[in-house]
Amino acid sequence: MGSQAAWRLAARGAEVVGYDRFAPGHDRSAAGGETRIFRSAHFEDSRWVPLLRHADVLWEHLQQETGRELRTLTGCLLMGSTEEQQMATVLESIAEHGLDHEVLDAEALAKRFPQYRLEDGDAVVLDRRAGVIRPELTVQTAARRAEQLGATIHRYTTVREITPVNGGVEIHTDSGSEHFDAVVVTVGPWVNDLLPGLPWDVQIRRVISAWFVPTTDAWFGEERPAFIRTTPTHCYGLPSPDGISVKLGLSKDLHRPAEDPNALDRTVQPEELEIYAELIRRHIPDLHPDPTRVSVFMEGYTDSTRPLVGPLPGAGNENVILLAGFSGHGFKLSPAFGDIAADLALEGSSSQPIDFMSTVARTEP
Amino acid sequence: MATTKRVAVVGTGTMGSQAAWRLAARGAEVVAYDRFAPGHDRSAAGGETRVFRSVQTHDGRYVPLVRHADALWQQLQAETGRELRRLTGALVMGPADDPEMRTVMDGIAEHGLDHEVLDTEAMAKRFPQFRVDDGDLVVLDSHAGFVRPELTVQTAARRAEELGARIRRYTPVRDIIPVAGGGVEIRTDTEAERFDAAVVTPGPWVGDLLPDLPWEVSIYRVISAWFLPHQDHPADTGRPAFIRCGEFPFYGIPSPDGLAVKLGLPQAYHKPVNDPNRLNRTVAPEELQAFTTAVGRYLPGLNPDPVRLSVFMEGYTGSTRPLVGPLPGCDDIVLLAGFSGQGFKISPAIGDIAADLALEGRTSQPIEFITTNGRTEA
Repeated sequence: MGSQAAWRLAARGAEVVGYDRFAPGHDRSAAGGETRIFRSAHFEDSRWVPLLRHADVLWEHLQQETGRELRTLTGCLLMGSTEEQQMATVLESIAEHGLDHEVLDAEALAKRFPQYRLEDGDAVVLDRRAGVIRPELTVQTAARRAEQLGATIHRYTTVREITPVNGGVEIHTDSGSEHFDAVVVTVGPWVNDLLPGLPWDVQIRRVISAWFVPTTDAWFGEERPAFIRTTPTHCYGLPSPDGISVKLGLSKDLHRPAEDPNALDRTVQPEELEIYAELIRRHIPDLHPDPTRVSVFMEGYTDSTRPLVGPLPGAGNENVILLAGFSGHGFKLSPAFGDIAADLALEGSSSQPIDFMSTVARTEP
Repeated sequence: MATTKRVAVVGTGTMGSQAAWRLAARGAEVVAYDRFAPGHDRSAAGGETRVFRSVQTHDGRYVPLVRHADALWQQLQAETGRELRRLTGALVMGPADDPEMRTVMDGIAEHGLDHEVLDTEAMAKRFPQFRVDDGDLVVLDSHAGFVRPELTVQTAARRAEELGARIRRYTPVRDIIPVAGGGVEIRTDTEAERFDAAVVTPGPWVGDLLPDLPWEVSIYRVISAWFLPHQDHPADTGRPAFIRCGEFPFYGIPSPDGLAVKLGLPQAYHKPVNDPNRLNRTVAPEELQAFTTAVGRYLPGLNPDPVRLSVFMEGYTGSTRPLVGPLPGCDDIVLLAGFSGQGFKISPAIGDIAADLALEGRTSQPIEFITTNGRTEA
């Protein structure tokens, strides 16, 4: 989020100083592991769709400004039981917003994407305005574009405290403090360290990504879509840019809490991998079930799974714009959130439809 | 002639997977054990790429073993239809008077290796991504490139299974006991099984499994760091692997994603690992200094902020020569350990040599400089 906010702020002429405890593109928090899914349809709430559209436009924009290929639109297969809410919401969001898609029956799936096995009663939708984003490259490209537009980035510089002062904000690091008109705070899993009095709970979870190699190179086929399966176990997968492996991931309920973001356990136990072997056996049987890479990341979840976007509550805090708790839904929307953060920091309001995730007069957890 | 021997392979990593394949290919009844599963990234083999090169900087005696490995890599690719290796070439760079560069040129002369020497102008034209120091010698090893380690390990293990080997996954071996009158007993948490011979390739767990080994194998924590270029790589220039010798030694391999470059450092930069079961997989910012220096000085087109940091383990002997051969006083237990950062590129050859030793008690390959037999060095 922070790299996108820096880009959008610098693009509008703001004098921007970015801080990071590491450096843009690092893989110690949420953004890492080579790939993220971009998609247009949404499972949880069709109110996300306009924000996805805004992100989509900005992704194109960033690619054009920099000449980098950040995204490959290979489509995304959405599979799962229509008895459950998530696939129903997908179909609703497609109908409501006229999204480019195909519905595939079992026979069409078997012919076109034989690498996947269905459960009885599954629906399959191919979201065509979807594909694979490169997260590290996107973060570095947005940060570098911000620097080209005049932003300064302080690498390996941890912000220790943010103090609102009359009409502005003071940022304290180990080497001093600096005054700003406003601040955009996107500290990921360190949110509770930096803002211990936050009135909403952001739980940090340890997210495992596991990579698997198909038993034949032909497995990938021509189209190479990403996929999401909603039932019986919510999971997703993406073809890796290495050309030979597939990254699999699980959803929120299967992630353990991360007690301390500075002491993340990056070693994955064999028993944590059993669920992947079961998913492969059941749904993707031509993947070799022994992983070739396991990596651990962190994500922040609010209790409602709605992000926290907007000013910190409390008098005098209107210049402190928080972006936190994206609950596994952040990356594909990140350029839109960066742009919204720029709206809020520079103008105090945004025309984007963010009421359902705003911090202003928020009643949900 | 096909053997009827039963052979255990302890560990199915870089060396064990190859030994299982070579043993099964010769008709041995193979049972292989791994505390994880073939292709895992918790020990030495991981991180997408390894350098394969014909030219050697470390010791010219590796050249014949690399040639044997080369033939077996092609054979494994042909038998399985998998692309395990991509021959992009490899640049070897460093001061002309550096001892490693001399080893390179001596090896080229002695073995007639296919290569080119590139001057500054040729480098600027063909490989503009690299900066060289004044007085550097640059050699392009033509029969070189990168190997995919995880895919190689899984493919060798799978080929062994197709040929009849059984692999016991998530089954650590606790003890290896020589049996009076010949043979070996392998003990796991749940059972004990008898074999005619055992090939023992436990990687960083060698000290746990064989505490009385007369040679020290020190386990080191090896950091790999990935970097992205500021611009996409031009389609008309090559992406060779590379190794730099001299004052700032490091190596790099183009990632198969077409974009990233993985960088690694030599032994002097690795920290010791006290317990292979408690490897610290978190890299501290100050550990990146040598990488940042290497990028700034020699690879100016890369963004010096890494996009991936991964930690692996490698075992080093005191002499940096591997331990290949029978355990002292126990001819049926063949040890492969302490490859000292030189192992992956010769792994199919070492697997084949292990099969020689386990089935016939000797090998025709030139392993005198790494053998355990009559070994006097550390």
